[in-house]
Amino acid sequence: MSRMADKSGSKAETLPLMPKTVQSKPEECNCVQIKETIHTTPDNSTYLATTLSIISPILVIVGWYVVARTQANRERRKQIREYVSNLIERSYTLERLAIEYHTSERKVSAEHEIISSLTRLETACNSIVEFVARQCFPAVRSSLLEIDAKKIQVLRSAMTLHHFADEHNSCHSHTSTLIQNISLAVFDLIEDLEQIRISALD
Amino acid sequence: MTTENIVRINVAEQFTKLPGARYKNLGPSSGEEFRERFLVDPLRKGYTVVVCLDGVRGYGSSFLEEAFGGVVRELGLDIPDALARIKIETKMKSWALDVEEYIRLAKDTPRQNV
Repeated sequence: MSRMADKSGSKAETLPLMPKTVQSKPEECNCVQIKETIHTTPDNSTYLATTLSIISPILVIVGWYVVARTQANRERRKQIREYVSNLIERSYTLERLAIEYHTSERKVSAEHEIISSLTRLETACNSIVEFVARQCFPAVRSSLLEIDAKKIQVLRSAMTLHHFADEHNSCHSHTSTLIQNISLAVFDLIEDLEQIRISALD
Repeated sequence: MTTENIVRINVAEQFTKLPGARYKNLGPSSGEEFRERFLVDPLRKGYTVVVCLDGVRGYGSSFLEEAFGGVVRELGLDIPDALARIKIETKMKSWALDVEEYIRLAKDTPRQNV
């Protein structure tokens, strides 16, 4: 047995194990080198971690800001559209009132209502620009919301310059120039309002 | 222009908050009445009038035409002179445009028959 052992031991010595050990040495060397490489760049990893820790909250804040602003602007544009729709409806009501007044017997209450409605309509038209001017992030450029004052002036003239109040001595027909001018003036104003509604579309 | 030559008129405070129609024979606070009480005298004397239109319910164009166009016709003012001496203060741009237009067209507009 001892001989066998000796034999095997000698065999073991003669087995080509050396190359393995020889091969494993460079691997270990590589591992060490890699470890060393990692250990030699601690600044980079710290830098990366620090950068990420700073950027993440900034990205969250910027993202929140963009989403909040977009949502707020969408809501404001919706408000402008609704407001303009209401102005258009009021313009049609005023047109009906004025046409009824001029095509029937004189009615003093209708005169007062026409004058008050014209003033309220102009005030409301001017308010859109003021409404947007007060916003931090205007949803629509205020220059797009301005209504030409000339159109309201033409509308007032058409309704109240002639055949109004003490000059209302007879009824106009629906085809008269005065009635046509009222309709045209309302049409022109509504055209402006429609442009505003389009500019406030999403 | 010195301040002595300027007359300031506030329609709401000095005349009415409810301006009426064109002529005074058919109702109160008419354009004709406003013209006679506030505009004719100072403009005849060569003053500049500054008229604040705000604070009222609203104006019919006939009121504005009779008041401002009417004073140009009555005094025979030159249009550039009238435009220079009648100043309008208002938040409502359309009222100022109305007055300017009626001053410009004053001599082409005949007096309405009532």
